[in-house]
Amino acid sequence: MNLESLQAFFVPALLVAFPLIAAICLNFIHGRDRAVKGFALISVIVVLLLPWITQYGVYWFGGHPYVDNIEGTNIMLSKLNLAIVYNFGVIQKIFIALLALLASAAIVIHFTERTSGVYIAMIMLGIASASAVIMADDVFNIFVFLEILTISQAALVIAVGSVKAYKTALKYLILGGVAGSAILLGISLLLGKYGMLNVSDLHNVIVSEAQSGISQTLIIACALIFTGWLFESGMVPFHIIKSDVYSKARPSVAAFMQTQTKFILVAMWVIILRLFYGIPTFNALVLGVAVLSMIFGVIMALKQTEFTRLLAYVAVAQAGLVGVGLGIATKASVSAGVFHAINDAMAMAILFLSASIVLQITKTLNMHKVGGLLWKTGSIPLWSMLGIFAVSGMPPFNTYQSEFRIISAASEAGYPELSVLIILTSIATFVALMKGFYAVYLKEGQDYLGKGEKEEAAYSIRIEFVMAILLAICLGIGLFPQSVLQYVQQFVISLGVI
Amino acid sequence: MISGYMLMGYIFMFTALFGSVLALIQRDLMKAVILIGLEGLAVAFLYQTLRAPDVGITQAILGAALLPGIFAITVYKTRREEE
Amino acid sequence: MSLESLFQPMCFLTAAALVVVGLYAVIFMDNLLKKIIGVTLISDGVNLVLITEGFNKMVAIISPDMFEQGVISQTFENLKEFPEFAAQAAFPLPSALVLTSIVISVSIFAIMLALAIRLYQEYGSLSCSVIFKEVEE
Repeated sequence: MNLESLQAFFVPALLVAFPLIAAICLNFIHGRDRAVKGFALISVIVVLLLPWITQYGVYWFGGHPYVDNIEGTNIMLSKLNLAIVYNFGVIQKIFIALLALLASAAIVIHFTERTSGVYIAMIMLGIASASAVIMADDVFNIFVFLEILTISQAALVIAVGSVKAYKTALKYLILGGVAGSAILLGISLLLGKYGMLNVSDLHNVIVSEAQSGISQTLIIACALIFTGWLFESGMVPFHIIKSDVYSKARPSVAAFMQTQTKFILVAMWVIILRLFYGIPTFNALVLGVAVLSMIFGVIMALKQTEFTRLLAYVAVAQAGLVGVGLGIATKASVSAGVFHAINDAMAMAILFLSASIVLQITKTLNMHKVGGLLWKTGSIPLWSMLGIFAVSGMPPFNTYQSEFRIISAASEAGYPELSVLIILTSIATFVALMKGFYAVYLKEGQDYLGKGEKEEAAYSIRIEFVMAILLAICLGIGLFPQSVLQYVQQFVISLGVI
Repeated sequence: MISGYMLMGYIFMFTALFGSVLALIQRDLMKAVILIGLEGLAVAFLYQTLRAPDVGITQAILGAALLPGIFAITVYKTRREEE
Repeated sequence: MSLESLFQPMCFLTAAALVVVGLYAVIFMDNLLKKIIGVTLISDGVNLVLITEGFNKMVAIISPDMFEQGVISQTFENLKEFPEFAAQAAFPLPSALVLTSIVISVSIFAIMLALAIRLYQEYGSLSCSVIFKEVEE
């Protein structure tokens, strides 16, 4: 058994299969704490390693042969209709590696409170479903794993145990069921008209059919799948329920969930762009929805009184900014948008992790009740301040590079008003986050500051460690943006549509 | 003349539709649950008429036995008369 | 326009009616259980659309030795070649989608109903205007 055959074992399907198997096993050993801890640590290490050693390429799960005539003769030729396909390239590797990092952080932080096998199983289910949606090249996979993602996120919200969390989870499940049915109805229309589920095949057939006009079935299928995309990525009509979900879950796992949402936004947009590019108003629709979610997210962030809700609305606004980059649909803006998704996921994760520390110390996240944590938490305020700079797009961080590129691409493409809007959003994000920082660290606290309180409040070192790693990566990408940007630009060129 | 298979298909279609509308009008929740079970069963038979027997078996088990079962447990644990 | 040829369009119409009734229930009904029944109806309607698309006049499940000697059907006596048969059989791909969809929906409904029981124990009523009343924080 030489190195070649060992390398050939790591196919992209393993990235989805391994977390699923780990989730099932963790479910079985749920009561026993030490077994759960050991098994979870092993699977965390494997999940962190797997994206780096998986081979690049296209991986398909069998096809069904169909026979077709060559023109004008009676010769029957058997062709292979690719059914279920996974694409694994550099961009997918970056996405899945980042997801694995944040999920591992969430699991390791969870061990400080108590050990629950089902909770870690739900995080593993989240990794599996997000990896499958990022890698998939056919609509069947996307539908199945989006439903599994809905279940996983709802379960992570239910695990908190308060009545408000139950209400949020119920609303999220009802909306998720309806949105999943909408996606399935759009897929059924595509299946009925063209007879295949593979995106590359559908793209060729739709492009060749579009010579004679856009068909009505395609427009209705686009509307349905677009509605499903709006729900899964937290855009305008559904931004309230998504930010509710981020704020009611534990903050360490909310960092993981908002990363999932941003990457699924990009991955699903790539799929629906390749299918529905011929429809004339498609890009305008994406741009309109993204601008609205950007504005509403920031406006609602400014008036929140709970710290994680503020962060959640900022995350929604940044997802809208990514959508703006994707909606302008030129090569430069799409690469800037995808780059911003990667950068902003890391930067928001830093802030969510700092909220997790605040929750550990003060047991509440209401901004009227916390305060005065500046000298009690070591160097956490420093990392939080740097995180706020990172989210608002200040140099030398990576979000500066990506926001700058989106703004310049917007004015090059003929939308200078959009550049002004993005700059205003960035300023408003900074104001909202500084309000949160002041409320948590700078002002006088009321509840828990008693006489004889120790100087240093107790918090976990692991969270600080993860925050420092993420800040270092943000700084590194900010100083050398071309290292990641070249892969993003190659990915955009390989889409073939823009 | 229409074949017997298709006639049964039409009967199941109307049963499903009327069962679902009637289930939503009820004030007694247990009756609504039974009507939803009836609608699931009609849809299962409709799948068989549409030449998909595997899906018919799955819908009969899950949609006509399991799902009304857990609905009935919920109605039993909450309240029976409500609009 | 015999009743036989209208069968497939009428199935589509039934599915559309189920989706509309389910959507009405989710949006307008006050009781929580009726909302969940509405989501059930929506998913039933969408599954019916998928299966109806795959409908064709004839389907058969053939064994390997029947495959060797060709298939003789009741409707078309001259049909002995497998590719000709496969071109007229019902489309099997929607069955796979529907099976996955039914199973995932059942698990989502199980979680929703467990949450409904828990919320009833907390609030004492299943009416949505009582449970989801906006509280000033």
